[in-house]
Amino acid sequence: MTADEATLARLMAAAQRGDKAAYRQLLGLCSGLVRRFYLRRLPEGAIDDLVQETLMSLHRKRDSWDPQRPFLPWLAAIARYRWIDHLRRAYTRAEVGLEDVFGVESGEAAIVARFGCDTLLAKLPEAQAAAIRVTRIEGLSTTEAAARLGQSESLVKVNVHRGLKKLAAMVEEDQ
Amino acid sequence: MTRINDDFLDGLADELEPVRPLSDTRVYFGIFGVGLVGILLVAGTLGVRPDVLDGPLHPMFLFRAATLLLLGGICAVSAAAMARPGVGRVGKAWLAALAMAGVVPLTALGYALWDPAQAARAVWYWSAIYCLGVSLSAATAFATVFILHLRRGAPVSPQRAGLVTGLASGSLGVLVYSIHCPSDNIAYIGMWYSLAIAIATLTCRLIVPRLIRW
Repeated sequence: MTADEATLARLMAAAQRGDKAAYRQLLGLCSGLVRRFYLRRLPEGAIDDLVQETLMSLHRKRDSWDPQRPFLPWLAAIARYRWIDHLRRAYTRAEVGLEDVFGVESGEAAIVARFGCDTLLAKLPEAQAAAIRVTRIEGLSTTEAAARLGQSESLVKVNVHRGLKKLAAMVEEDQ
Repeated sequence: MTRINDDFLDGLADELEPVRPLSDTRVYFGIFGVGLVGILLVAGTLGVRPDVLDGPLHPMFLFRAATLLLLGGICAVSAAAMARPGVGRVGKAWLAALAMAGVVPLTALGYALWDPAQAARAVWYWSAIYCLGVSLSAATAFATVFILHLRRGAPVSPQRAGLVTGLASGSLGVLVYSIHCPSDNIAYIGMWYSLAIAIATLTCRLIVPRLIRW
């Protein structure tokens, strides 16, 4: 079964009515989508935990999806929210290279691209986006980030703080 | 590379219970109920303006009621919708309503600059303390309805939801008080109504995000 909008919306509508089989299928599809979404945007070791958190959010807040509206923007908003929340909390070092794990498979890459976190980062001033990428996604320490970016340590901290604040305000913005 | 365990997904599926999609209708009923009770309390304790009971309505009463209803109503719809997330769903209607309502304090400021003595007499009117007290009490009740709704939903922009909740609650709170408010002076309205809405907005902006984070 493919993870397209119509399929996901049909499964979610059935899940809201209590159809456990449809819900299990939905969770499997969403698990793949959300995982692919987080692949380039988090250190590898943090991905499974955040996918679980996102699926639990989907589970707890499943009544907040309106069957009259598309499913993917709802899922994307929840995934972005959890991602930004994680960036605020987390300070973990990347365990593997980040560029080589995002394979191109089927049409899901296009769907995942619509989650649009790269676009959100691109809307930040470059210094803030770079500070977030190297400290919260690649996992460098503030000292290492300062040396890499040519910013002082305090400026790196300020840029991360301001950037995350702006990201949080942009969760529902379209690309 | 580890993958999400099938047991985890099976466990979530096993826990599934049917749910009714979150509806804004309940929050609108709640707002209507709070408004009705608030108006009855104000009418029973402070009394209603004579023109509301006997007519004809003063144009300033109509103007401010329409402005508050528009600002409060549009912000209420926006705040309620924030419980249901979705990329691309950032509504700006509340900003437009706020800009429109901003005409009132700006006009009051212009009036105060034009005739400071008259404006000062109007602003320091005895009823100001009731204006703030009643408006903010009613705003608290309205805000509670929004907070309960937002906590049930999944707001992904808690700061914005707090801000808009404050604007909606403040405007509707002042609207409840306005059926008693004896002043029809633009300086008074621009000062005290705006102050009540500003206090409600700032308070909700600071407090509500903590209450609705999930």
